[in-house]
Parts: sequence; structure tokens; C-alpha cells
Amino acid sequence: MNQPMKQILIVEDIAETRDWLRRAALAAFPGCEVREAPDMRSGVHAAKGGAFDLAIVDLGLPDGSGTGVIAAFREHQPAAMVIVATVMGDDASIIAALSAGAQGYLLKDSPAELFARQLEQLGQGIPALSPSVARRIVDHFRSTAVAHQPEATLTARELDVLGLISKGLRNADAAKELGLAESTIASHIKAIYSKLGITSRAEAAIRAQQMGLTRP
Amino acid sequence: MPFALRNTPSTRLTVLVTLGTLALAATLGWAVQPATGPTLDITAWRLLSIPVGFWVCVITGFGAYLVSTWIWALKPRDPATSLFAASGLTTLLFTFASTYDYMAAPLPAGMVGLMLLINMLSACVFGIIMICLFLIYPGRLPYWRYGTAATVIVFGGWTAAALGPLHQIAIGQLITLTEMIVIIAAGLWQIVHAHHDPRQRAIAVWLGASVLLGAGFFIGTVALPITFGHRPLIDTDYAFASFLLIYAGLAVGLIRYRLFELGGWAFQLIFHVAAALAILAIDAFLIGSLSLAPGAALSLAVLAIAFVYLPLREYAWRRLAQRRTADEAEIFHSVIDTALKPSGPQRAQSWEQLLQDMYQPLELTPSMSTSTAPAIEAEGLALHLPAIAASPALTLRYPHAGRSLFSPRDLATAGQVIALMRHAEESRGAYDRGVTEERTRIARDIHDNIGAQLLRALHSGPAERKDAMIRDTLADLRDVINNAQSPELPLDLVLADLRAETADRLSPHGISLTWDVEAMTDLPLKPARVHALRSLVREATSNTIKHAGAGAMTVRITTDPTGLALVVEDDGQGFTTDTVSLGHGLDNMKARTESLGGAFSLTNEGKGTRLSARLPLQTELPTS
Repeated sequence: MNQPMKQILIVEDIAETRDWLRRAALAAFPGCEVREAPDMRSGVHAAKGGAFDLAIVDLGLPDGSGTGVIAAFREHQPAAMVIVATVMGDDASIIAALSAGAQGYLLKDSPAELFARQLEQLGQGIPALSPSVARRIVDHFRSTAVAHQPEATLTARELDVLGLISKGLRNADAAKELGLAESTIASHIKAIYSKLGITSRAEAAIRAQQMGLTRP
Repeated sequence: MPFALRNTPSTRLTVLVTLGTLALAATLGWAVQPATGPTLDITAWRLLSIPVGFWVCVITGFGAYLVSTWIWALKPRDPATSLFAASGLTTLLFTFASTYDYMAAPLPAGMVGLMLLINMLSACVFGIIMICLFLIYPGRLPYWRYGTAATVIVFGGWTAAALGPLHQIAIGQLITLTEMIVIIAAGLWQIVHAHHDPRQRAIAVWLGASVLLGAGFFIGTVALPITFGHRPLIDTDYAFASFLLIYAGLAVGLIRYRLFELGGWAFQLIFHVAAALAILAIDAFLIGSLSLAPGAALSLAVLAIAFVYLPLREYAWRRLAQRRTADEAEIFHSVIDTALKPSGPQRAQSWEQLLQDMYQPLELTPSMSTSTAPAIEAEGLALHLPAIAASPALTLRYPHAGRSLFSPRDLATAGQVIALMRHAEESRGAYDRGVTEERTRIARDIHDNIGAQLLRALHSGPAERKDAMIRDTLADLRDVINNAQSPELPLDLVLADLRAETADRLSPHGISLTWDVEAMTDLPLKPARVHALRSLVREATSNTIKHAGAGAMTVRITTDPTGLALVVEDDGQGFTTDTVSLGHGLDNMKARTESLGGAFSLTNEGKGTRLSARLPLQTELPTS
């Protein structure tokens, strides 16, 4: 899935951060065309109108949550890749974004070159998962799947992957640990993402919110 | 028993309206009789040919009487409402007494003279009462006592003289004219007098305007022309309709300005009484017409009554008598809702709403009492409730829209609801305290960690250094937010995040990471230690990336009962004292560690750098 990212949308309310994201996007995908949206309304509008390969969406927008933009992309441009770029990145809202259909998330306080590299990797189809988000996902499936959604349970392998990542191993380390290729780990993570969104989106968001708030 | 004979507003109003209705029935009964004399033969009655003037008279009189008795029934001990009721009664008398002109059937001997006398007398008394009313309502005018006495003596004497010794009934017109002028003057005085109080002024203007319009119209079209020897501009009896203006204005003002301290709810009372009387009237009508019907039709009519009217009547009566009492589940629900309302005023409002639903009192007023238990007062007319739910102590009067009294059962329910409300409020208080403590903790966390770090970043020199410190601060802030629920984090969670982050940072530089933990993984760490540990690992990683030229980095973390030891080694070229001038954040690491009572050292191990730190954990180990 090495798709060229030519048309990129950036939804971000802080002007300085928008510029910074634009520079990072240009560094990761030289020659791409970047469009910017400062709030949720124009983000949703862009999702309905233009054709984008990649959307980088901030969650806390002045007129609502970025999950609205993500949902609009799922509906109107399912082929586009949607990435959440957040700074507070509280786990609950990241999981809500993932279950709304985001394919990954990045922290905006990373150094510029690290951010650009992560962006590039996402473009190559290698999704990231932080240990704390991995832990929340395990919790999520433990609390919801057992109850009433047998089809939404994770396979043993997927649970292994989540377990290792939640201990702080990166994709490559987890691959080494399990004796698998890194791309296999990536596809497991993608499967986990899609299972997060397998139920109704709203319910998943609520569930995610719930578990985000009910930490041990 | 919805209309039991107790001294409730509804009983009072029912009795008075019944009396008024009897008077109306008697007058109407005589008016329908044909010129040939009274008869019981309905076909001979002249229901449709009664002159319009008659209807104006009876409608005006009866309407005025209804409105004024209604107000009085609600507030029987108030001097203003008493005067107002008396004015309505006199209006009924002078309008009804002036219907003698419209009777076709001959009246008994002396009746006309009597009616004329009643008409004149009650018109004069009406004026006296109205003057007295305007002396004390809406506000008491200065010298109102003298004014009242003077009014009664002057106009009373004048009237008595005119009707008695002088025997000049015609003077009555002059008397009423003078009275009207005094009424208008008193009304204007009220408006002036109330200039300091906008609400009272509004009432005065409204009442004054009603009276001015009503009485002024009558004076202008009837009283003035007659006094000066002319014919009235319109028929006297038509002009009576203008008095209805006074009472209609009052009914409207009641809603708008809470006249006599009554509100729109007062209309509930008149509705109930009217509906009850209507049912009784239909009963009377049916009984009356049954006695007139011939044999065959009679049995059909009885059947129809049995199958149609009686069930309907039963239903209507039950609806009227029924009290919609909130059931227990509903009350419980409302109490909890009330206790959980976010603000004091909302709680108070919700509490009042709950009381309205439970008792439907006609009046709900704050009281000064400090008693803590509910109590029934005024022989069941009032229920006193203590202050609760951010609401002051309340007194409820006239339960169930004035149809009944407060019973011991109502008192018991009130006691239970108040106990429940107290319990709910206490629980809510405990919850609120928990929230406040939590907030304080988070605020302290932010102040101690985030604030201090931002300040350090602000005061540190190079831009790159500032960036690193701000990033560090954002990471800590994420921590505060994500772990808002738990003040302490288990060691393994902290290490997992740190491991992923470190590996991520090292890999672009081709440095491999060995992560070695031999520790109590569920050891709880306080935020300050979490931040210190993270800061140490980050700083060491930064140094390895920038200065060491290393290919591998090892992090080793061990715990023992007294503390946590951290060792970070790389296989780089080590350092010389001047590259590590302790300006690159190492002084911060040292300061942070030492402020927690720990030790910090940085050594050159021939090849590579070795950073070791120790954080004491004595105080954080679970005490058994």
C-alpha cells in the first residue's frame, strides 16, 4: 500500500501549527499539494467536496471535534487515508478517533523530522500504536466483546501483538519477539483498528469514551 | 369528598355562586312570564322576546358578582377583597332591581317601589364602597381612616336623607354622580401615591383605568345628562354594561399584575366551581323535563339517561373530584432530580415544582420559620415545610386547587419526602467534596510539574533546549490528563511508555536499544518520581544521540525495598568534561534527582558513557 500522497488536507485551528504541519507534509511527500482548513465545518466541507489522498486532522477544533471530519471522510471519501494529529492525545479521544475511522495518529509535539518520518511511514501503510492506547484497546475488547459481540473479538495473534506493544515494544521489536515480519505486525494492527470500528461507530465512540474514563 | 362543607375557597365560592344563581333564576323566571300573568306552561313563556336591556342588566350584575365573590372566596380576611366583594353584591342588586321595566307579567303590589328603592340604595352604597376601596388599595392613602369615615358619614347620610325623610329618589342620580367623581379622584390619587413603587403603580393605573372607563362612561352618557335635566345619551340599562368593564379589567389585571396578591392559578378555582355547577344544572334540567314528558317518550328518555348521560356524568364528576397524586416512584425520581440539579436556584425551583405536583396548592410562599419538621397550620389550610434543597422554608396554602385541606397523611408524605431529600443532598454534598478534592489534586499536579517546567523552559537559554523542555512539559501534561483518575502510576506502565518513546527516538540514528527491567512492576509511583524518571531517561537518550556517536544503548532498571536504580549506558566515545558542561540539562537531572532525596552520577567507562541514578522509594512502598 505504497500510495503516493498528492492531495493533502490539513485541518488545524492554530495557524502556526498549520504551517508547521504543512512543512512536515511537504518534507514527507515532496511535491504534494496541501490544502488547509481552520475548523470542523470547513474540514467537513472539504471532505464532501475535494478529492484527497491524505487528511491530517486535529481533534480539538473550535467548532467541534475532529471526529466529525473523520466521519465525513469515511462517508464521502473512504479511499482517503485519515490521520489524527493531536497534542494532548488523551487516550480516550484517540480511541474515539480510531473507531470513527482514523487510520493512525501522530503527536504534534514530536520534533519535526520525527513527525515527518512517522507521516512517511503511515503513507507506507505502517500504522503506529502507543503502549497506552494498546492497553486501552485490550481493555476495550475485554469489556465489550465478551459481553455481546463475539465477532468483534481479537484473535490470539492480535492479542499477542497488542500485549507486546502495550509493554513498550515497537512494531519492529514485536516482530522480532514473535518471529514475524514487520509487515505482518502492521497488518495485525490494521485488523485491530478495523475491529475497533466494526460495531456502530457511535457505539464504539461511546464505549471508547467510557473505557478512556475508566482507567485502573 | 371534593366539595365537602369545609371553610375552603371552593366551598365559599360554591355557596355564594349558588345564592347568586338563585337570584338570577328568580329574576329570569319572572321575566319569561307572559303579559297575561305567571304560568307553568313553558309554551307560553316569552324566552326570545325579552328586551335586550334586561339581558344587559342581569349579565352585568351577575358577572360583577361572580368576579368579586371569586376574589373574596380566595382571600376572605382581606379588607380590600371584602370591599370588592361588597361592591359586586351591590352591583348585582342595583342591576337586578332595575329590571322591573322589562317585566311583562304584572309585578305584585308595591314590588316596583321596592325595586326602585333597592336600585337607588345599592347604587349609592356601591359608590361608597368603591371610594373606600380606593382609599386602601393598592396602597393605603394618607388619612384613609378619616377619608373612610367621612365617606360613610357624608354619602351615607345624604343617601339616608334622600331616601328617607326627603323621599326624593331622584336625588340618587346626583349622589351617584358625586360618588363617581370622588372614585375617580381617589383612583388618580392612588396613581400619584404609588409613584415610588412601580408594581403598585401598575396596579393602580390598571384598576384606575378600568374604573375610569367603566364608571366614566356611565357618568358621561347617563348621570351627567340626567343631573342637568337632559335625556341620557343611551339607555340607562345599556349603560350598565360599562360596569362590567371594571370587573373584566380586574380579571385581566389579576393575571398581569397579581392583583390582591393572587395569580393566574386563581382561575383554576373558578373552573372547578363552574364545572361542578354545570353538572348540577344539567341534573336539575333533566329532572325538570322528565316530569313534563308524556308516557312513551319517558321510558326512552330514561333509557338514554341510564346508558348515556349517567356514565358520562359519572366520568366527568370523577375527573373533577379526582386528585392527580404523584405516585411514589415519580416522587422518588423528582427528589433525586432535584438534589442533583447543578445550581442552587435550579434546585429550589425544582423543589417548588415537586411540591406543586404533590399538593397543587393555590399559594406557595416563603416563610421565616426555622423549624426543621413539616407542620400543618390553620386547621389544615396551610402546610409548613422547612428550608431544604436551597429553598427557604415554604408555606403551602389551599391544597388541591383549594378543594381540600392538608391531611395527616399529606404531613406524613411531606416528612418522608423531606427525609429523602436530605439524604440525597448529603450524598450529593459528599460527591461534590470528592470532585473538589480531585480538582485540587489535579491543579496541584499541574502547578507543581507543568508550571515549574514551563518556568524552567522560559528561563533556559538556547532555543533547542527550550523546545526540548516544552516537549517534555507537553508529555507530562498528557500524563496529567490521561491519568487524572489515579494519582499514582504503576511502574510497568511508566516504563512501557518510556521504552516505546526511547526506541522511537533512537532508531532514526541507527542506535539499538536494550531494555532490561528487574523490578516490582506494580510498584506505584508518585507523579514527581514519574516525571523525574522520564526526564532522566530522556536526557540520557538525547546525550547519547547528540554527543556519543554510539551504536547501542542499554537501559537497566532495578528495584529493591529501598529504592529504584536506573543505569543508562552507551557504547559511544564517552565525553570530555567540556562537552558535558552540565549546561545541557544534566544539571536539571541532578537537581531533580537530589530534590527527591536521590543520587545522580555520570561516569566515563573507558568506552561509552554511564549515567546512574537512584531514587529512594521508602515512603512509597505499600505498608503492610
